[in-house]
Amino acid sequence: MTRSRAFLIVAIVVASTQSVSVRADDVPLNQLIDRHINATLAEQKLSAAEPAADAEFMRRVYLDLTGTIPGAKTARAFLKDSDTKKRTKLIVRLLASKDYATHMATEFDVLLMERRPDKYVTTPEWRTFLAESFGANKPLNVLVAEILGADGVDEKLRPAAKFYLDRAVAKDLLVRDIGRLFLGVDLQCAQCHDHPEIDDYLHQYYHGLSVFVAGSKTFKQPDGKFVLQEVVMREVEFASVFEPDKTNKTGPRLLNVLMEVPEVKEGEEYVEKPSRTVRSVPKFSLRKLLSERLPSKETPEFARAMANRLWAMLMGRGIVHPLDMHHSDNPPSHPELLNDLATRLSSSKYDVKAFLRELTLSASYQRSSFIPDGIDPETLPASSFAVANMKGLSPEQLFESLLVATQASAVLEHQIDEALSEEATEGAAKAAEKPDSKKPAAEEPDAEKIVEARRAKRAARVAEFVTMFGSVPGQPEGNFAASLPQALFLANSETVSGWVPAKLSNLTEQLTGLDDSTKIADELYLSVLSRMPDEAERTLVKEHLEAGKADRPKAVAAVVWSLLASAEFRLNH
Amino acid sequence: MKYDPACNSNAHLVSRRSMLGNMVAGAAGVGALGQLIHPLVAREIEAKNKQVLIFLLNGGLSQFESFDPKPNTDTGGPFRSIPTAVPGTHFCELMPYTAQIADKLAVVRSVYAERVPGSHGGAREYVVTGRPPQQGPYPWIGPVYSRLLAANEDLPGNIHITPSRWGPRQDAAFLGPRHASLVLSGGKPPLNVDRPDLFNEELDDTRYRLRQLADQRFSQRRRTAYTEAYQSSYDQAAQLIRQKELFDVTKESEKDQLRYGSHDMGRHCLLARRLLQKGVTCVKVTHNNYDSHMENFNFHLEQLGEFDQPFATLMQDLKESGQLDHTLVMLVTEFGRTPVIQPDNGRDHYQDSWSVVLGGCGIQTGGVLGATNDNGTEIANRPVHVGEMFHTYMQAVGLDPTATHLVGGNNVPIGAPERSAVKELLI
Repeated sequence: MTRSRAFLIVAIVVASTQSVSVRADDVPLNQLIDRHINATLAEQKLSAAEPAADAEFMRRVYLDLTGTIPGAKTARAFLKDSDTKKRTKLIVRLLASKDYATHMATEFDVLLMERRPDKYVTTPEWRTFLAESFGANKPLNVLVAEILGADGVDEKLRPAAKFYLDRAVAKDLLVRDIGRLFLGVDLQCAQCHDHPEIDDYLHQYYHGLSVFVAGSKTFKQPDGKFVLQEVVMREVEFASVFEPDKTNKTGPRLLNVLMEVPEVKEGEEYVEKPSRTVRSVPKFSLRKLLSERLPSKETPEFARAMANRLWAMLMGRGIVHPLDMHHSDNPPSHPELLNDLATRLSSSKYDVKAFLRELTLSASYQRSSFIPDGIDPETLPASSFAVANMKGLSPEQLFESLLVATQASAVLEHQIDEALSEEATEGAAKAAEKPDSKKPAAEEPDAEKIVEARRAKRAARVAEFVTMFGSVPGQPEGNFAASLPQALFLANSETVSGWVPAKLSNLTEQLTGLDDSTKIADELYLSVLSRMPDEAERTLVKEHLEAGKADRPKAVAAVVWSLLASAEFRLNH
Repeated sequence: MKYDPACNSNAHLVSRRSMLGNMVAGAAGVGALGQLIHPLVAREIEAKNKQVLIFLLNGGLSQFESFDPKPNTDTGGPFRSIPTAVPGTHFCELMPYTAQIADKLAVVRSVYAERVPGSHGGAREYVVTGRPPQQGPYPWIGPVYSRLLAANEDLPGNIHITPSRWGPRQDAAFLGPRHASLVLSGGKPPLNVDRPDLFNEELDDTRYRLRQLADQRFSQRRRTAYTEAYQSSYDQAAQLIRQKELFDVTKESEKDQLRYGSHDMGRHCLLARRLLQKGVTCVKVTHNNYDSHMENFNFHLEQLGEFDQPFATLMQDLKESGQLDHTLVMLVTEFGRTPVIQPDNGRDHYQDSWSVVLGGCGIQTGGVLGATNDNGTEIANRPVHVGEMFHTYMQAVGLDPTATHLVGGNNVPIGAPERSAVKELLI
């Protein structure tokens, strides 16, 4: 391959560097993104990767917006489509899909709850709430306000209280996570003193943020439900461990902005006074204040942190990186770009779909993950966005994509029903052992119960993937990692290896029924890797099937597995 | 206002998050990891072929009922002390077999740590990383040995035998999952080690070969850190599947199975011996149920009754086979138990003083270091911090705890830099 395949940007950017400074408000965000990224590439004399081919783009955008790879049919149709606007149309269609809402719910659940075990609000309730929010394109600031203002009493918004309740309303944990997740600052090391290494993270920021939640705790209602209650709090005292005798005070504070707390006459602070039996409710709620002031224009850190997170979700790396280390010694890789992204996010009323649409429309997103020919990858840091950054599939993406690739939904249902009937048999056997048990004889389970039991069993299979491929509870998901137990799981586990052998019209069965090895190769690559094979790959499949013709279903299964277990499948590239 | 600090250090050597953030390929396998974490040249070379056997008594072993008995005092409890193979040194009577091999052990009776958040989990992490947990995550000691000592690429470097159901943990932190513990829950082989019915050995080789071909094509002209790590995980898997009998303790002689005992601890100790003999670098055996807030004496009677004999048998066997010369043995627990005996005969958690026992490679055995006062309420002589113990664990096998791991451009000291090894314990 020649050097010309490398997309040299220098020439193109001479013009666009000038227009960056103009920054007309009517320039679509996707173009603005490209101007900034390309300007920096030109400045640093870096070559960018070529535009991604249709197949590469399609797989990526499906994974990023719907959490799964496209099915073979869908993939074939897109690749054949000669419409020049097909990428744009696909993006619009995916953003409108139900899968988008479900995928965003999963992403934001993992982001906000970090795989903590359920405490008071169940994951299905919470995910439904998030999916409805993202499906309806609820403005992101409104969603965050609902979460930060939640008390768990109002039935409709109860799931939003999961953020507080399932952290047991533990103050220090909340301060840290509100800072990290919504403001992009990890203040943990500022709890006992000014941050030793980061000048911007002051001791008073930690305690100022803590005032908002210091008065809140759980309350058990008579119906057994846990909700939030709040006692009056105006300020906290704190002292540095280096100067323990010097006491400081702060009121509620969002970083350097101190908030006013209205004076309330003594004795009139409460709607419901604190007592053992009643949920205490102050007239002035600091949690409500937090929910109004944090996700708003008054706190510019919010839009920056959110824009940076959404960017990182798609681009594999934050403009500020790590994502919760916004401070002056860790500058953004593209400062003006981050400004523009944050401004556009907030001026669009935190329209997440519009934001993701613009991002995925940009040439920067639609670059290939192939390093330009003749270029040393070391010279193209992840922060340059010169080449598409590869991301590991999340546990959920991996589960759903394996299922789509193997076309094994029917097999999975079969696995689930077998497990359920086994349990039922065991249950019946146990009941038979205790003939005098007062329980009525097993009733026919109603349809709703069966649906719920199946849902739970499916969730348990996904949970297997989460344990194997996800982060530990309470930790953010890290970069791609590969381990021995994971490889053993993908190679041998009942779940995965059950989907591979020819069964119930799954992929292997379909392929086994085809006569021509080229057809098999095409269908196989399209189904698993969402692309057509090249000639070498067709030959490889042909030779393999030739050698394994004694037992064709097995030979097909082996090659199906080899692609499912390939890095190309495991990564979003 | 009082607050419970989640961070009680004034010197963050490396911020956890910046470290994780910089860990471009913390995941990376052999190839890429080699570039990330630079080798500790000099001492590492002589350390090769050293092995480590770790016993983790989970829940908090009582020092009173084991290695630091205080009979006939207000805190001593009902048990007597017995003489050991080391004249003048007494153990609790619950450890008769271990007493007979006391000459192969070094007992430290004056270990302490500051209280850290996270109860058992936090304290355990302090012991096995040498760092307070809130500075972490730092790699546990097993992954550190796996990284710095493991010479045999065909075997997992770090195996954890545990009675409990224990899923995969990221105990290797920034060393990457290549070095994370391979867990044998209930002493059984690792999960998913049996190939599915569909694939016989020959077809198994074929599918792995096809997989590798696909990866080779994919990684041309792409960044390779991820693909190398991924390939390495399948190489390990393929090797492990072929070596399944490694985990099969029934392959040991019947006589040995009888000597070690038919209960879990006996089987697990024999399995540990088998793994060490086959060349696994670091083997950790967990024994549970020492958290005796109630009925401390009954619990210890029962647990040590299970632990004592197989432990002593294993030490004896390692001595006779000559393996003890190059195998460090550590017996650790997350903290000790309180001198005060609760009304329901319980002892609570105690981090002011407890006992740790070492043996084998690099250790000055046959003695006791440090002492507590007459009724064990405080350290009377030579306090030893858990961070110093961590340095000692490294130095005993010839590793330099003051050297560094290089992680994403940061030099991360292997042991806490404000600590150093306990010279009296080392040969």
